Amino acid sequence: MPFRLFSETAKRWRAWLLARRPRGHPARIAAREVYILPTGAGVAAALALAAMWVASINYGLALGHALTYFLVAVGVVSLFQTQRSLVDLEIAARPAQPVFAGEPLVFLLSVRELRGRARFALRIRGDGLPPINCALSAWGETTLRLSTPTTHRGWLEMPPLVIETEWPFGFARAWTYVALPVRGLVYPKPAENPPPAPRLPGRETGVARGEEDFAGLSDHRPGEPLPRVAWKASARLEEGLLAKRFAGGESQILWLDWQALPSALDKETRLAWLARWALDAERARLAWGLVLPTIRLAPGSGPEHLAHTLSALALYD
Amino acid sequence: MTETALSRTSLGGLWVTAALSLAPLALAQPRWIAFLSATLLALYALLWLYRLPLPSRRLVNALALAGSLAIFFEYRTLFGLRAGLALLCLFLPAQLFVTRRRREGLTVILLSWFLILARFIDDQTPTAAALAFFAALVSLATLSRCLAPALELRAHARALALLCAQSAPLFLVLFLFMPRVPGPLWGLPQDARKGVSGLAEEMTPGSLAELALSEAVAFRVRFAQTPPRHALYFRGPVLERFDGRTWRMAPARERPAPPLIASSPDLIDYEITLEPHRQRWLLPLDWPLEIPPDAHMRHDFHVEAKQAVLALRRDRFRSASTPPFVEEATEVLQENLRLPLGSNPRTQALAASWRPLPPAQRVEAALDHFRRGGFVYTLRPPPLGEHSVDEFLFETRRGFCEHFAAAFVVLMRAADVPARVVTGYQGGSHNPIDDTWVVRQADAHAWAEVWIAGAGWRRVDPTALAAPQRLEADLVAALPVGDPVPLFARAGFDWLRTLRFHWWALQNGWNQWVLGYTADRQRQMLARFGLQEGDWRHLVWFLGIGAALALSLLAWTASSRKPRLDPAQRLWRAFLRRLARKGEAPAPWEGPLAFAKRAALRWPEKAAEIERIARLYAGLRYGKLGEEALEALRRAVLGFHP
Repeated sequence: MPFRLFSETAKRWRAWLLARRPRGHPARIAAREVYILPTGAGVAAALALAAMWVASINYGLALGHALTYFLVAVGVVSLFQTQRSLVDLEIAARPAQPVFAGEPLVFLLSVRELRGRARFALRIRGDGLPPINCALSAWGETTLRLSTPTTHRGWLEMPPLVIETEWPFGFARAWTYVALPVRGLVYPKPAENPPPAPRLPGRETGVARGEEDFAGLSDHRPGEPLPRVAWKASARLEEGLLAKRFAGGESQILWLDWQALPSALDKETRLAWLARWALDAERARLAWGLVLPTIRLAPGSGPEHLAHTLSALALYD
Repeated sequence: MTETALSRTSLGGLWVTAALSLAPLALAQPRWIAFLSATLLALYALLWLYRLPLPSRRLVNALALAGSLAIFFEYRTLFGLRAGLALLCLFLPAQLFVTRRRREGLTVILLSWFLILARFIDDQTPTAAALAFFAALVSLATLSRCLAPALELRAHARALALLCAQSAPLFLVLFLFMPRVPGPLWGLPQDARKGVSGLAEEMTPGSLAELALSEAVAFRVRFAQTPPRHALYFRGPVLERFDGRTWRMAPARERPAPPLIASSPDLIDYEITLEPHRQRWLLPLDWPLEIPPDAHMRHDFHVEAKQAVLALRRDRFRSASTPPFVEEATEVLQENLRLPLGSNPRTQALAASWRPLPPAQRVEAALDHFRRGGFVYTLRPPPLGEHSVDEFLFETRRGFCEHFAAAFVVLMRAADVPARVVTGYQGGSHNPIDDTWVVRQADAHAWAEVWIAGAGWRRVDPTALAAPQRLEADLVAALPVGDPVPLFARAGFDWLRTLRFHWWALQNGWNQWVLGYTADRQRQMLARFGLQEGDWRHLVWFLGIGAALALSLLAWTASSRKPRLDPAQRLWRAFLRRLARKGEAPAPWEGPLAFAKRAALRWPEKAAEIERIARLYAGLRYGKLGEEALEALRRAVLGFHP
């Protein structure tokens, strides 16, 4: 299959280019890392200019020569501008907040301009993702949300970025690859309707108390549910948000035990059930512990404990 | 990105581009085409203004097809230059109606470029150039607009201005040094010659009078030493064949011997900048001695270039003010005695009565007839019938220079003196601003030459007898009161004339430096730089090496320059270095304020200082803090020691 051969070559070619990608984090794009090729529009314009040149010769038009050469000069110089549009941009990414499989993982990209030149019509896209358009003022900085679909639990590396532009005329496309060592954690997708968590012998389980005990305020972490935000208290701050913290539910302990699950279940289903139970326990303000074949988490509760539990489930193998 | 729909402002920009490039050209088309173009443009503008939906693509295609058919019936072809231009004038506005995405927008832009260029075929004046340049700029701005529709117009303008400034050197190099190929590359379509007025290869009564009101410039002359105005006869086609009504050129012949200059003549050196007239002839002063290398002189002293003059050309000539002595072939003399049988019987009878006289006196007798006959020089001669010379000499007695010249030559031939009509230009306007002579189509003239055995050809200008002012002053002085006179030539318009002299001087400069920069001129200039004339291979080497040098210079500067930092950033980095020595550095994604908060936790005693630095820096970079804040930041950073 010639197509397969072609895509195979393209893949190898891209791997080679990626090996030459800007290294380090944040990544600064250097001139030698920017590639440029004419677009269809560029080829069409070149053909049109060639025809105009021939017409100028044939009809002896001095001004025709002037017009053609002017457009040629502007076109050629515009290629340098296209390439320089990408040089000396700095790109950093923030590790994504964990999500459940199936939800998009969002990487926050910050793009800075380091040369004192305004940049226009930039496009940034992750490999296979829809492009994001942006522009930067001189010395400017902008933040973009790179949203990556997820399917499986575990670590998800940020896909390599393609940064491209056709500015100013669309006659050529300049692009570069940037791969940043940033990843996000994908929790297993919680099961929809598992049976209720089994009660383990010798352990005390209970129901959450109806009332939540307000335990204080702390910094809001991105990804925390919005109802937790203490809006009134946050408004008094100059920046950032505060979140409410609650105490309670510590007295009852639920053990989430891998071994206690029906032996017919496969690994992913077990993890999905455990994730669902952990979420339910947190919602019910219960304390819970986790027992996996390789890991044992002491009982606890609260968002941090939930995160630990879900991470352990996400990374279990 | 090609697939995304164009924004409304981009479409507006495309409309403006199309209108600017279309307007000058469409006005020169047949009226219905101009009307059609304007209607389509107006229609599109209405749809755009009121945000109405565009018509279906099929309807637009059908309309374009109908228009092409109409153009075919107007021109009987679709491939000639004129028909092609008419088609472009139709297709460009039609293309607007099917433009929805960037790809179609590009088609509009490229069509516009062709239209801008096409205008130069008929008009290369500075005004046309300025308009074209403006249209080209708008087209480029529109291209950018299609790419970045959200950007402010002012930012677009600034970016384009910068780009133009950067490309100016390359443009100059291309314009001056890119080897010019002398055209045409293939035969010019016949209809390319339409619309240029000037002398013709034949002359009928009234053909020169048509030119007399034309203000168009035929050529410009700069003399080393200006001869008197009445001696300024610029020699064009020499007409030797007469069929009773029309005078035509005879085929070129070999001259039996080269012309000799009888006495040491007054030599006149001058340079003529000839407007393209799409014919082959050049217009040297009588009597040409030295002519350009790519031209040759016919037996009748008419000078022709090898190819039609399609672009402005500038040539040096040397002429003698006295006619050279030549031996003339008998066939030529025979040709110049021939008259159609039975035409103009009264004229022939009159001339026959002079035959006993010696030749020189026959000439005098004919001139006497003009002197005493009460002839009137006029731009509005009455129409003449079959025996045109008879009617002019004996009945109407009113005519323009071609009537006088033709009648005189017929008289001479009938009196057995070889004679011929010479067409060309006489006189001109001296422009005191830049000391050039401007010869316009209105200066077109016809005179006669007679062959006197032993003396050679002698110029005789019978018009001078009826209207002597024609030679000494200009056309207007020679015309009777009541004749139409060109506006600029009217009395009482002196200030207008002064203005006009300035405009002419400007145009002359434009001609010399822009339009006159042809393949020849380029070679001359390169010779001045030490490059051998005509050695285009040197030029290619020169261009290649120059381009390679320029490119490597660019690549080197692009790769070697360290990214500059703005002053606030430099201070912030210095601050970070100080903290880094103590082992605290921001994460790549950490903003200045967040980092400061973290650092403040580590150095609680310096917390206020750290937060202040971070706030100043953030304010300078992202906020609205000004110069004083920069100074404060500098002092704070320099005074900070963790």
